[in-house]
Amino acid sequence: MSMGELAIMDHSGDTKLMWDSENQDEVANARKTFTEMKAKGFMAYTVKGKSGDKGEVIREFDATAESIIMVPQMKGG
Amino acid sequence: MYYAGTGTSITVPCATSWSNAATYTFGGVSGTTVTSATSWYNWNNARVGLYQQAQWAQWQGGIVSARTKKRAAEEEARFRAEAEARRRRYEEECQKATEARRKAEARARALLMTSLSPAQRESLEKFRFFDIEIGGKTYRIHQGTHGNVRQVENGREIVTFCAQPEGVPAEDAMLAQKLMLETDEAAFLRVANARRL
Repeated sequence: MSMGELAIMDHSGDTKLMWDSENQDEVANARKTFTEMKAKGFMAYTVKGKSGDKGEVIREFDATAESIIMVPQMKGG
Repeated sequence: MYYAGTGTSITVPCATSWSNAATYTFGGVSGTTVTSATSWYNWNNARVGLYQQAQWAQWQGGIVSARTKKRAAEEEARFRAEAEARRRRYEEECQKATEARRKAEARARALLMTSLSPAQRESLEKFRFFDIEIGGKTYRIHQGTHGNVRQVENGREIVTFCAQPEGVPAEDAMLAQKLMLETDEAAFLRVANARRL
Protein backbone atom coordinates (compact mmCIF):
# COMPACT_ATOMS: atom_id res chain seq x y z
CA MET A 1 0.00 0.00 0.00
CA SER A 2 1.32 3.46 -0.84
CA MET A 3 -0.29 6.79 -0.12
CA GLY A 4 -0.31 9.62 -2.58
CA GLU A 5 -1.04 13.28 -1.95
CA LEU A 6 -2.50 15.84 -4.31
CA ALA A 7 -1.98 19.47 -3.22
CA ILE A 8 -4.02 21.99 -5.15
CA MET A 9 -2.87 25.57 -4.65
CA ASP A 10 -5.61 28.03 -3.84
CA HIS A 11 -6.36 31.08 -1.71
CA SER A 12 -6.32 28.93 1.44
CA GLY A 13 -2.75 27.84 0.75
CA ASP A 14 -3.66 24.49 -0.71
CA THR A 15 -6.31 21.83 -0.57
CA LYS A 16 -4.93 18.36 -0.07
CA LEU A 17 -6.40 15.12 -1.28
CA MET A 18 -4.91 11.80 -0.22
CA TRP A 19 -5.36 8.48 -1.87
CA ASP A 20 -4.32 4.90 -1.29
CA SER A 21 -2.99 3.52 -4.57
CA GLU A 22 -4.72 0.19 -3.85
CA ASN A 23 -8.09 1.75 -3.17
CA GLN A 24 -9.81 2.13 -6.52
CA ASP A 25 -12.43 4.55 -5.24
CA GLU A 26 -9.82 6.90 -3.78
CA VAL A 27 -7.71 6.68 -6.91
CA ALA A 28 -10.74 7.39 -9.09
CA ASN A 29 -11.67 10.37 -6.92
CA ALA A 30 -8.13 11.77 -7.08
CA ARG A 31 -7.99 11.20 -10.84
CA LYS A 32 -11.32 13.00 -11.29
CA THR A 33 -10.11 15.99 -9.26
CA PHE A 34 -6.83 16.04 -11.18
CA THR A 35 -8.66 16.06 -14.50
CA GLU A 36 -11.00 18.84 -13.38
CA MET A 37 -8.10 21.02 -12.28
CA LYS A 38 -6.22 20.37 -15.53
CA ALA A 39 -9.32 21.44 -17.43
CA LYS A 40 -9.20 24.71 -15.48
CA GLY A 41 -5.66 25.33 -16.72
CA PHE A 42 -3.73 24.13 -13.67
CA MET A 43 -0.21 22.82 -14.18
CA ALA A 44 0.66 19.55 -12.45
CA TYR A 45 4.05 18.61 -11.03
CA THR A 46 5.24 15.51 -9.26
CA VAL A 47 7.70 16.11 -6.47
CA LYS A 48 9.83 13.36 -4.95
CA GLY A 49 11.19 13.44 -1.45
CA LYS A 50 11.50 16.45 0.79
CA SER A 51 14.95 17.71 -0.02
CA GLY A 52 14.31 20.16 -2.83
CA ASP A 53 14.54 17.73 -5.73
CA LYS A 54 13.37 19.15 -9.02
CA GLY A 55 9.79 18.46 -9.91
CA GLU A 56 8.49 16.98 -13.13
CA VAL A 57 5.58 18.12 -15.25
CA ILE A 58 2.84 15.51 -15.65
CA ARG A 59 -0.15 15.66 -17.95
CA GLU A 60 -1.95 12.55 -16.78
CA PHE A 61 -2.79 11.52 -13.26
CA ASP A 62 -0.18 9.18 -11.80
CA ALA A 63 -1.64 7.00 -9.06
CA THR A 64 1.85 5.89 -8.03
CA ALA A 65 3.12 9.42 -7.46
CA GLU A 66 4.14 10.27 -3.92
CA SER A 67 3.15 13.90 -4.24
CA ILE A 68 1.47 15.95 -6.93
CA ILE A 69 1.29 19.73 -6.75
CA MET A 70 -1.23 21.54 -8.92
CA VAL A 71 -0.55 25.18 -9.70
CA PRO A 72 -2.93 27.73 -11.20
CA GLN A 73 -1.92 29.09 -14.57
CA MET A 74 1.05 31.46 -14.45
CA LYS A 75 0.50 34.98 -15.68
CA GLY A 76 2.95 37.73 -16.44
CA GLY A 77 2.39 40.73 -14.24
CA MET B 1 -73.24 99.70 12.99
CA TYR B 2 -69.81 100.41 14.39
CA TYR B 3 -67.94 98.14 16.81
CA ALA B 4 -64.81 99.22 18.63
CA GLY B 5 -62.13 96.94 20.10
CA THR B 6 -58.82 97.39 21.89
CA GLY B 7 -57.09 94.26 20.68
CA THR B 8 -57.95 92.17 23.72
CA SER B 9 -61.61 92.92 23.89
CA ILE B 10 -64.35 93.94 21.60
CA THR B 11 -67.55 95.67 22.43
CA VAL B 12 -70.71 94.75 20.61
CA PRO B 13 -74.11 96.35 21.27
CA CYS B 14 -76.17 93.18 21.30
CA ALA B 15 -76.24 89.68 19.96
CA THR B 16 -79.10 90.37 17.62
CA SER B 17 -77.00 92.90 15.78
CA TRP B 18 -74.46 90.25 14.89
CA SER B 19 -76.57 88.85 12.18
CA ASN B 20 -76.12 92.05 10.27
CA ALA B 21 -73.03 92.98 8.35
CA ALA B 22 -71.19 95.83 9.99
CA THR B 23 -68.02 97.81 9.96
CA TYR B 24 -65.72 97.39 12.92
CA THR B 25 -62.37 98.40 14.24
CA PHE B 26 -60.40 95.73 16.01
CA GLY B 27 -56.72 95.47 16.79
CA GLY B 28 -55.99 98.51 14.70
CA VAL B 29 -57.72 97.01 11.67
CA SER B 30 -60.92 98.62 10.52
CA GLY B 31 -63.31 98.78 7.62
CA THR B 32 -63.99 95.05 7.40
CA THR B 33 -67.49 93.84 7.00
CA VAL B 34 -68.28 91.22 9.59
CA THR B 35 -71.10 88.82 10.19
CA SER B 36 -72.20 87.21 13.40
CA ALA B 37 -69.93 84.24 12.77
CA THR B 38 -66.93 86.50 12.32
CA SER B 39 -67.83 88.41 15.41
CA TRP B 40 -68.07 85.24 17.46
CA TYR B 41 -64.72 84.16 16.22
CA ASN B 42 -63.23 87.54 17.04
CA TRP B 43 -64.89 87.53 20.43
CA ASN B 44 -63.38 84.22 21.32
CA ASN B 45 -60.01 85.28 20.05
CA ALA B 46 -60.16 88.56 21.80
CA ARG B 47 -61.59 87.60 25.20
CA VAL B 48 -60.28 84.23 26.03
CA GLY B 49 -59.10 82.67 22.82
CA LEU B 50 -55.84 84.48 22.54
CA TYR B 51 -54.68 83.48 25.99
CA GLN B 52 -56.00 79.96 25.76
CA GLN B 53 -54.62 79.45 22.31
CA ALA B 54 -51.25 80.70 23.42
CA GLN B 55 -51.33 78.38 26.41
CA TRP B 56 -52.55 75.52 24.28
CA ALA B 57 -49.82 76.11 21.72
CA GLN B 58 -47.20 76.34 24.41
CA TRP B 59 -48.44 73.19 26.10
CA GLN B 60 -48.72 71.32 22.82
CA GLY B 61 -45.38 72.67 21.72
CA GLY B 62 -43.83 71.41 24.91
CA ILE B 63 -45.35 67.98 24.45
CA VAL B 64 -44.43 67.85 20.77
CA SER B 65 -40.96 69.06 21.54
CA ALA B 66 -40.55 66.45 24.28
CA ARG B 67 -41.91 63.75 22.00
CA THR B 68 -39.63 64.88 19.16
CA LYS B 69 -36.66 64.94 21.49
CA LYS B 70 -37.51 61.48 22.81
CA ARG B 71 -37.93 60.14 19.27
CA ALA B 72 -34.68 61.76 18.17
CA ALA B 73 -32.88 60.33 21.19
CA GLU B 74 -34.32 56.88 20.48
CA GLU B 75 -33.32 57.10 16.83
CA GLU B 76 -29.85 58.25 17.72
CA ALA B 77 -29.52 55.37 20.18
CA ARG B 78 -30.73 52.97 17.50
CA PHE B 79 -28.29 54.40 14.93
CA ARG B 80 -25.47 54.17 17.43
CA ALA B 81 -26.35 50.55 18.27
CA GLU B 82 -26.53 49.67 14.57
CA ALA B 83 -23.23 51.41 13.88
CA GLU B 84 -21.63 49.59 16.80
CA ALA B 85 -23.02 46.26 15.54
CA ARG B 86 -21.68 47.02 12.06
CA ARG B 87 -18.29 47.95 13.50
CA ARG B 88 -18.20 44.68 15.51
CA ARG B 89 -19.22 42.63 12.47
CA TYR B 90 -16.54 44.36 10.40
CA GLU B 91 -13.90 43.70 13.08
CA GLU B 92 -14.96 40.06 13.33
CA GLU B 93 -14.76 39.69 9.56
CA CYS B 94 -11.33 41.34 9.55
CA GLN B 95 -10.18 39.02 12.31
CA LYS B 96 -11.51 35.99 10.46
CA ALA B 97 -9.87 37.17 7.22
CA THR B 98 -6.57 37.78 9.01
CA GLU B 99 -6.78 34.39 10.67
CA ALA B 100 -7.61 32.71 7.34
CA ARG B 101 -4.73 34.54 5.66
CA ARG B 102 -2.30 33.47 8.38
CA LYS B 103 -3.45 29.86 8.06
CA ALA B 104 -3.13 30.05 4.26
CA GLU B 105 0.36 31.51 4.55
CA ALA B 106 1.36 28.82 7.05
CA ARG B 107 0.05 26.05 4.76
CA ALA B 108 1.76 27.57 1.74
CA ARG B 109 5.01 27.97 3.66
CA ALA B 110 4.87 24.34 4.82
CA LEU B 111 4.34 23.17 1.24
CA LEU B 112 7.20 25.35 -0.02
CA MET B 113 9.55 24.16 2.73
CA THR B 114 8.99 20.51 1.85
CA SER B 115 10.04 21.33 -1.71
CA LEU B 116 13.29 23.10 -0.83
CA SER B 117 16.72 21.70 -0.08
CA PRO B 118 18.14 22.33 3.42
CA ALA B 119 20.40 25.08 2.00
CA GLN B 120 17.46 26.76 0.27
CA ARG B 121 15.38 26.56 3.44
CA GLU B 122 18.17 28.13 5.47
CA SER B 123 18.60 30.90 2.90
CA LEU B 124 14.89 31.64 2.94
CA GLU B 125 14.87 31.80 6.74
CA LYS B 126 17.92 34.05 6.89
CA PHE B 127 17.64 36.23 3.80
CA ARG B 128 14.03 35.82 2.63
CA PHE B 129 15.15 34.39 -0.73
CA PHE B 130 16.58 31.17 -2.15
CA ASP B 131 18.54 30.42 -5.31
CA ILE B 132 18.01 27.76 -7.95
CA GLU B 133 20.42 26.70 -10.69
CA ILE B 134 18.99 26.16 -14.16
CA GLY B 135 21.32 25.29 -17.05
CA GLY B 136 24.24 27.26 -15.64
CA LYS B 137 22.08 30.25 -14.75
CA THR B 138 21.17 31.29 -11.24
CA TYR B 139 17.68 32.49 -10.41
CA ARG B 140 16.90 34.04 -7.06
CA ILE B 141 13.37 33.82 -5.77
CA HIS B 142 12.62 36.46 -3.17
CA GLN B 143 9.76 36.38 -0.70
CA GLY B 144 6.83 37.86 -2.62
CA THR B 145 4.61 37.37 -5.61
CA HIS B 146 5.35 40.05 -8.19
CA GLY B 147 8.73 40.92 -9.67
CA ASN B 148 10.36 38.70 -7.06
CA VAL B 149 12.32 36.42 -9.42
CA ARG B 150 15.78 37.72 -10.34
CA GLN B 151 18.55 36.41 -12.53
CA VAL B 152 21.88 36.62 -10.72
CA GLU B 153 25.26 36.99 -12.38
CA ASN B 154 28.50 37.24 -10.43
CA GLY B 155 26.51 37.84 -7.28
CA ARG B 156 24.56 40.72 -8.82
CA GLU B 157 20.88 40.68 -9.70
CA ILE B 158 20.73 41.76 -13.33
CA VAL B 159 17.17 41.00 -14.50
CA THR B 160 13.85 40.91 -12.66
CA PHE B 161 10.98 38.70 -13.83
CA CYS B 162 7.33 39.02 -13.04
CA ALA B 163 5.16 35.92 -13.44
CA GLN B 164 2.93 34.31 -10.85
CA PRO B 165 -0.28 32.35 -10.36
CA GLU B 166 -3.18 34.48 -9.16
CA GLY B 167 -5.03 34.17 -5.88
CA VAL B 168 -2.49 32.21 -3.87
CA PRO B 169 -0.26 33.17 -0.92
CA ALA B 170 3.28 34.37 -1.60
CA GLU B 171 4.92 31.05 -0.67
CA ASP B 172 2.67 29.20 -3.14
CA ALA B 173 3.63 31.70 -5.84
CA MET B 174 7.32 31.17 -5.01
CA LEU B 175 6.93 27.39 -5.25
CA ALA B 176 5.07 27.76 -8.55
CA GLN B 177 7.89 29.93 -9.90
CA LYS B 178 10.49 27.40 -8.75
CA LEU B 179 8.64 24.46 -10.31
CA MET B 180 8.07 26.22 -13.61
CA LEU B 181 11.66 27.44 -13.89
CA GLU B 182 12.98 23.95 -13.11
CA THR B 183 10.70 22.14 -15.54
CA ASP B 184 10.19 24.64 -18.36
CA GLU B 185 12.45 27.67 -18.11
CA ALA B 186 11.60 28.79 -21.66
CA ALA B 187 7.87 28.83 -20.86
CA PHE B 188 8.51 30.86 -17.72
CA LEU B 189 10.58 33.39 -19.66
CA ARG B 190 7.86 33.60 -22.34
CA VAL B 191 5.17 34.36 -19.77
CA ALA B 192 7.16 36.64 -17.48
CA ASN B 193 7.60 40.36 -17.89
CA ALA B 194 11.35 40.99 -17.72
CA ARG B 195 13.18 44.16 -16.77
CA ARG B 196 16.91 44.69 -16.73
CA LEU B 197 18.17 46.12 -13.45
